[in-house]
Amino acid sequence: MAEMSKILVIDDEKRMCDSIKVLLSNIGYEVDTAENGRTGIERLKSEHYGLVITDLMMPELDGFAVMKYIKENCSNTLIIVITGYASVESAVRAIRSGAYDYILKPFDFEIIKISVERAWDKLKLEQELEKTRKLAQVAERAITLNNELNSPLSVTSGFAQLLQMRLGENSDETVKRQVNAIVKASESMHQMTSQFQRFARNLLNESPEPSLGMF
Amino acid sequence: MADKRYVLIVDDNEDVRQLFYDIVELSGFTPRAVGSGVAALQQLKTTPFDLVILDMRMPDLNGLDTFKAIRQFNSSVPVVLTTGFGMDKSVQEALSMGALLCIEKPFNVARTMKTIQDIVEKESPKK
Repeated sequence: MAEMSKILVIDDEKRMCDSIKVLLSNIGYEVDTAENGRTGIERLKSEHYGLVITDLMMPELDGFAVMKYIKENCSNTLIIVITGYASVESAVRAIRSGAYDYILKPFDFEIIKISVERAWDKLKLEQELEKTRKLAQVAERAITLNNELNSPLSVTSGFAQLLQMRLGENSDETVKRQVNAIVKASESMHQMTSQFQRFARNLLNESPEPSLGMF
Repeated sequence: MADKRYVLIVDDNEDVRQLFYDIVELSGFTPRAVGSGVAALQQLKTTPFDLVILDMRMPDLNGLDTFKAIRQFNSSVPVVLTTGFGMDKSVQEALSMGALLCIEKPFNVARTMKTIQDIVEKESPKK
């Protein structure tokens, strides 16, 4: 969970920043703060945050500029905006442009806590989904590679079997033993790749292709 | 040699092609091997083959399409499929359209030789 472990709070009111930081730190979140949009973006450039809580009204760069930066550069970061009761429309605008949630000032800490927890759950879920997607990709690639392996495997095994046939009764025992070993090894390789194939298909909830099992 | 029987091998993998070439030769027939479906169609238009051994996974023209194209001008030549990818949909479709059977790679050489011999003797007995 290293990627989503941190929260960045951006607010030009230092007291607000500090109190949110203390409150969220107390319930186990790692929190950084920035006093305006510009320093907020600087922090975002140097570190990954799973969640950014930003005030909308700030001098220099405001919350919308921060949101724009996040949308363009940190696609997995969720945003919660904070705004005064007087400017509900800006909260609506923020949600429309992609904020995950908004909090109206003045607020009860419980509200922030709930909002942050919901955002965190969503981040966790997205990470799990991403993991599952990657796993499925690996399994699919493994199935293809396993299938492709069957061609070279049929070459080693096939020629070794042909050699076996050509080695008559009077052939060198050592050569016979060596050729037999290649045939046997090819068979066990095939058994291993088939086993792995079943495992990968199981992982993808795919039923195995019916097989005649020539070996 | 009027009673020579020809077997066409179609596989994009050169070594697999050579393997089937040797197996067909050892089975007592005359092999011809090509690396693509298009080359196979050209061969089939000029030579009367007694059996086609056709790989299902090939770039450009795949095994199923090659099989369908063969059937458009030759309804009788026996076709045996080969695959490293299990009995997937394309194999099943080709089998339902009259391909005789599918050999899954890797395979047992003795059994494959027997299969090839049985098919050639049965489907095109010596005249």
